Amino acid sequence: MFFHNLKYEIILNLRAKEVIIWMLLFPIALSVLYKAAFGNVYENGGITTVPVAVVEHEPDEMFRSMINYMGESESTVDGTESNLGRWLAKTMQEKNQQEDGERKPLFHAIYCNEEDAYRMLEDGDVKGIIFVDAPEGAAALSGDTQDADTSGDASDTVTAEWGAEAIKHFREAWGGDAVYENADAEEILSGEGLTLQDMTSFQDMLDKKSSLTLKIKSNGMEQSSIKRFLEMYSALTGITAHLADGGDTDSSSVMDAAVIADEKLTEGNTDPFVTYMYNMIAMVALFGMTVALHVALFSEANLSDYGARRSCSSTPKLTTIMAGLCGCFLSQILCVAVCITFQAFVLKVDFGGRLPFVYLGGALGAVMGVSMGFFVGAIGRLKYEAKIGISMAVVMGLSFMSGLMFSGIKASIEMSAPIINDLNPVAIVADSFYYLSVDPDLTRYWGKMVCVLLYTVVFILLGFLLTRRRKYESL
Amino acid sequence: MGDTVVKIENLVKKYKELTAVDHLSLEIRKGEVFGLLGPNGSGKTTTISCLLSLLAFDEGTIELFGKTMTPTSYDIKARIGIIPQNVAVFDELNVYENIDCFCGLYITDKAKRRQYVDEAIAFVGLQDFTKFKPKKLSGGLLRRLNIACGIAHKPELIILDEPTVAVDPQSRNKILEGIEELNKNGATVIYTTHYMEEVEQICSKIAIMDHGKKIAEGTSGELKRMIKNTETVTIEMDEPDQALVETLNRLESVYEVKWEAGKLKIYLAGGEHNLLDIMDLLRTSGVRFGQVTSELPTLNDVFLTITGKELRDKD
Ligand SMILES: Nc1ncnc2c1ncn2[C@@H]1O[C@H](COP(=O)(O)OP(=O)(O)O)[C@@H](O)[C@H]1O
Ligand SMILES: [Mg+2]
Repeated sequence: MFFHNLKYEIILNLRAKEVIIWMLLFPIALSVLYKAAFGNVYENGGITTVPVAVVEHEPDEMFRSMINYMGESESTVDGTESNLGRWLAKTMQEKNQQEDGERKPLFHAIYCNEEDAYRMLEDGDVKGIIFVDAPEGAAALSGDTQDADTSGDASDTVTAEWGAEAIKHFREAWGGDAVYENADAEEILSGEGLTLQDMTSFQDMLDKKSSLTLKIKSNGMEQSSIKRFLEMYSALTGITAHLADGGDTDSSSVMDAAVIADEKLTEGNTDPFVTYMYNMIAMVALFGMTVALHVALFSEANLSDYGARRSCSSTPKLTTIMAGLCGCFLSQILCVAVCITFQAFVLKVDFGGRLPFVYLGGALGAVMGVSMGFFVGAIGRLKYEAKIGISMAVVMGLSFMSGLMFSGIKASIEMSAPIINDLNPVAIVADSFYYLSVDPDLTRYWGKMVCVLLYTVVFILLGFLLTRRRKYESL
Repeated sequence: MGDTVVKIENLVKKYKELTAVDHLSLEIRKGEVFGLLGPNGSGKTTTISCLLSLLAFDEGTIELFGKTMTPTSYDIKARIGIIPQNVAVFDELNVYENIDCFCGLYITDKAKRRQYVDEAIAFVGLQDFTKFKPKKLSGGLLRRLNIACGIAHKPELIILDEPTVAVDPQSRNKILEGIEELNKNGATVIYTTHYMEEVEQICSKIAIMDHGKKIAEGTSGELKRMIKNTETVTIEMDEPDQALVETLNRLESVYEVKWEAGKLKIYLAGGEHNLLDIMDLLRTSGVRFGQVTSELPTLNDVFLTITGKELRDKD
């Protein structure tokens, strides 16, 4: 009987006009609209030239060649830049280039003093400041390293992949231009290209390697792209040093150390388009609330005639409710998945290359939305239409507070009452996507997922408590 | 007489101040079509809801099939089919799916369910509409769908709560015939309505309710015998003089003579060839008159006599 009910639950949900409109058409239309309004900046697959200030307290040849190569003018490669830097830069550049092959500079680097750098950051002329300082110690790759537990975590695939590739390129490069051009990669990797002597001479250079610190004003795509660049760079140089020390190619320990802390000066605006997209998914997930309202409603004799009919049948109420909930979970997850797929593959929104986790987050968000709806459906004796209206308003309100319409709202809430953002279910889901796109690891993402699950459990339990009653005082 | 299917004793249900059902006792036997007749608000639906264990009640006991009914009496519930007062079908599902959806709450076996659903569709005559969504059905067809959803699992006890409200005469007849057929096939039926014609037509036993109380119970004939009136003769004429009224009143079976709005009403209790006697009298006194009709008492008269008001508002 469970599956019979489940089947009809899903049919009912997917045939409901409101579901089609609010879960599928509305978010797609809205995201297309946003894309048209804000998204053009991020064409070319989300890669833009990011203005960045570089403050060199201690000149670092290799880093300079790197950033210049990644930068606006290719001609800056001169004698003062190292060969290795160029190769690393080229590797990363290739990685960043889209299929169309058009070269787009990653950074526009402005060398200046600290004061100017801060001023430009305040004015928004640059998205971040990279401080190049003298090394503090042999182990420290950057001035500030986060404690990041990424060992054995799939989250670092981007970095790890880049690293592996970079090692290959590095070996090719170090083996000499000629080798690179003619020999195939396998051969080089088998060890012929790289000599111990080469590595030792490189070691000297690495010893001079500076400490890098990034300061940003706010989080966003551009900021995260600077950060990722610095992480790549640190990882690459780290791996190289590691290899030079005679270590194996297992790079995970180096990766751990290669996390650049982004020091936020203030909480500012996050990038609007992406924020909107993340909020949109969160909103669709939370719309599960309106879908699930009927679960209790259709099972409770005092709330509807359907409920009376079901309550009079030989199917236990628990079965109908469970089937209703599961049906809502499934149909809502489907809606969220459609929304994510549309954003990821049609609008090409950047999810930091962690799409499976985005789907997971969306699905759990949908489950949370449905449980909230189940709870709201079970309380009070308000009319179904009224509950629909209230739920819609709640979801829209929460989405608004999370920055669905104006990305600044969330930031100002973060300033005045951050607890609201921590409790706002829409913000929780949207934040988890944001963390996926900027964090090297999944710690903060999982943190948000735990919140989502907590909400889910609480609302489902409350819902069951409320629907436990079997006889009513009045119908 | 067969076994007792429903036994309600001293049922009291209060909504705050209002006593919706007041010390009601009913006994319904297997094979009966039991009519619960009463004006709107007399407590019929409330009684049904208590019976089905949907409502908590204040006093009394309810037994179904010899067992006390509780919300978890799934074995009892499996033997009951309910047709709620309001149409409760899903707009998103078509006729077939709706019946299948509700039938599936009782019947797990798929092949059996398909057969039952087809039979239910044929029974209410919706074969041509199986793919129709409820919104496309007329009021009468919708009511029939509502009934089909409640009877598809072939219950032993069928409870219909005002199934003919807002239904065209054709559908109404179809529904009433259907109920008789269900009964012939062995189902016990509880039928609530405020249309006395319907209970007279199909019910083998009738309880009349008012203000939550059972005011009379019996077969249609038994109920009518409870009142003095056996026949009412109505004559279209101008206001009669006092002499004529007195002469009429002197007739043996006449107990009341009333003139109202161009019609003379003569109420009779018992006696034979009453109409003939009256006609003779009128002819000898030489008054002019128009149409003459003679009516047998209805349940409305019964209700009117007991409560002093009409069973339902004139519509
Ligand atoms: N949920 C309720 N709360 C308060 N009063 C109610 C409720 N339901 C019905 N009543 C009252 O109880 C009485 C009986 O109602 P009901 O059983 O629906 O009558 P019927 O079905 O015979 O028309 C009416 O006076 C009605 O107003
Ligand atoms: Mg009623």
